Amino acid sequence: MKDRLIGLGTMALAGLSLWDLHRTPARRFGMAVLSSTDFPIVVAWVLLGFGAILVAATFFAGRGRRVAGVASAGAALNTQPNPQPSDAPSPLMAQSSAERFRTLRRPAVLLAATIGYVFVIPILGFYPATACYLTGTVTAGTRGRARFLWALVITATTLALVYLVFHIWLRFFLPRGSVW
Amino acid sequence: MLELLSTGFLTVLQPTTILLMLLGSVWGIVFAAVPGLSTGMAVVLALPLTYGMGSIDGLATLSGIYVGGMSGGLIGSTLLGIPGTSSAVATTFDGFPLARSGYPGKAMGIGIWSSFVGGVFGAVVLLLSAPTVARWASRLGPWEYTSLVVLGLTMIASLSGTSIAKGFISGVLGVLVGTVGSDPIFGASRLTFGFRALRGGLHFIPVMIGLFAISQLMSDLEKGTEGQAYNADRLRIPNRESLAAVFGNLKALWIAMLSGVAIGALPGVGASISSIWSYDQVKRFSKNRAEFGKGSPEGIIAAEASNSATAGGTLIPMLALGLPGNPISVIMMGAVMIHGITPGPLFISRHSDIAYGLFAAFLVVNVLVLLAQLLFTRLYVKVLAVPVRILAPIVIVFCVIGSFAHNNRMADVFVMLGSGIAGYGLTKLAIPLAPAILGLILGPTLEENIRLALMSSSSLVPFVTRPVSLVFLLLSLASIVLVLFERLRAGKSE
Repeated sequence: MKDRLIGLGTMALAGLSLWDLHRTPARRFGMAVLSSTDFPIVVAWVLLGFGAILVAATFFAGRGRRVAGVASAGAALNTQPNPQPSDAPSPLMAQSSAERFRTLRRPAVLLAATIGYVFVIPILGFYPATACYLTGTVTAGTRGRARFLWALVITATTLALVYLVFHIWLRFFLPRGSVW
Repeated sequence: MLELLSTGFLTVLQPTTILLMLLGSVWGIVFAAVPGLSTGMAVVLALPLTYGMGSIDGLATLSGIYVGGMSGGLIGSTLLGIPGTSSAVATTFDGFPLARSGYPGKAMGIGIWSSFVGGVFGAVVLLLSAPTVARWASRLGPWEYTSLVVLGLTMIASLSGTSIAKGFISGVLGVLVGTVGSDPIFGASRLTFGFRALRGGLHFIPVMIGLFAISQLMSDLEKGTEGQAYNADRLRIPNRESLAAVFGNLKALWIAMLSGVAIGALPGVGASISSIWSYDQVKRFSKNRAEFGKGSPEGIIAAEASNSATAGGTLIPMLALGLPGNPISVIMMGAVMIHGITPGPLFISRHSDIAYGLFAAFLVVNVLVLLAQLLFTRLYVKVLAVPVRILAPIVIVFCVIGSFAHNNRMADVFVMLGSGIAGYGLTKLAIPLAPAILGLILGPTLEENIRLALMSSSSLVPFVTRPVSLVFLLLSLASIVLVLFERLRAGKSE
């Protein structure tokens, strides 16, 4: 099912690219056989083809699994006298979804903070935005009573190093914001 | 030639020049090691520092950065699983698993010594056979380049993991993303979806930083990867064991060094392709194929010896023909021109003192890079002790700096972020990322050459009538057939 969705998503992306390429005016000069949009059009069609192959493969694999499934179910019926299927989620499954939520929480929180950080840089400027971002994320990632202090130390050290190397030494200016 | 070379050594082996080369080496290693920074950026940022130096000192410093950058990529790849540079992508495949399995010292040692041997080999080839290799490479037309890139793209099949279709989807997606923005011949906009910011295209550096760094960090956080504290024995680089591993796999070493120099000498094809190509070939000819991807020393040797040997190979057409092979050699060429020298066929004969000084510097720099790696590796190993939940935000800050510094554009930072989210999504869907990067790097070269070829003859026939092109195409076909055959055989045995 997952592969089928990936295949369909790929086909949709290729279709979207083809739509944009066909509405883009193609440029062709002099001896050129290929216009400016011909190559990406071919690539988009190839992508569409691979998406279709992946979708088709899931149907074949599904049929194969069904055949294998019927055979194994038959074998199971022969060996188990009273199989009792149930639709209710087992305690093990419930535990695994809770576990999954917990494992996804950390990257999700950091990703959200990073998106906020990148969008705030043009407003606050690199240094203030980085100070807020590092203090917040390192505090969240550190354990113990002095975690805020640790976060401040790590933030100050990182920013001082970046400032010394890029601003003072290299004269390379990092993005400025409307605030600073 | 020996007289010119000895004069070159005398010029280079001055205390100031040695110090500058050592500083350049450390600079290059640091920039290549820290994810988000790159060798190209290290060279660009150091360029103003060399303005005030003499030609030899300036070029020797830049050589140090270049060679250091080629070697330093292995630190991020091995210890963090994040390639510091695109040339170190293949090092991640085996260096990272070996480091993760409790042998970071051994993984680093094999990488450092392979890099040194490959670098010295590249420098010797640069010195001895520069004119011959460059002459051969200069004869290749767009047909041969197209076929060569096709050969590079067929390597996607062996980088695909469990599903070849998903690997090709990833690779073709990379090629498609590479076509966003201006086309390489006329500069006409494509695939911008009306966004003006996309007209400049999506450069592979911010995309690569996002795809590899951000998605790797997110995956690590998801797994709850903790900092790994190693005891003193594990922190030590076992030099004798590493050297034994490097010279005990001579076949892998030779394949890697030869492919590194040969591919490096071809304009437009750089260390990123040579290391992946070499990894693929060493894996194919290895008796321990099953160990690849799980921490195989052969895999590390293949990647590191190859990308370091490429440094010497890349300079061959740049110095002899004035034809830069990759973005870094474009920057290097610019640096050479800043010092009043025009690289080209007459460069070696007219400026033999500078040319042989540069050759000598290239040999000396490899020794200095080895020293810089061995002396400071323990510090880098300590990076692993920091928990990823603390390291991740700091690395992301460097990713932001790296993406921004590439073009001084905030748009590149957004591209990096978008690529990171996309890369994490692709990882969750079990779609391999390496083919996407390969497609992104090779796509523009493929388009440019196929269009140039069709402008010259408006027929596809020369692709199969020109012998070199035909050989590359047959190798491409063989590459795919071999992988399919291996998959079928593995499926049957299961």
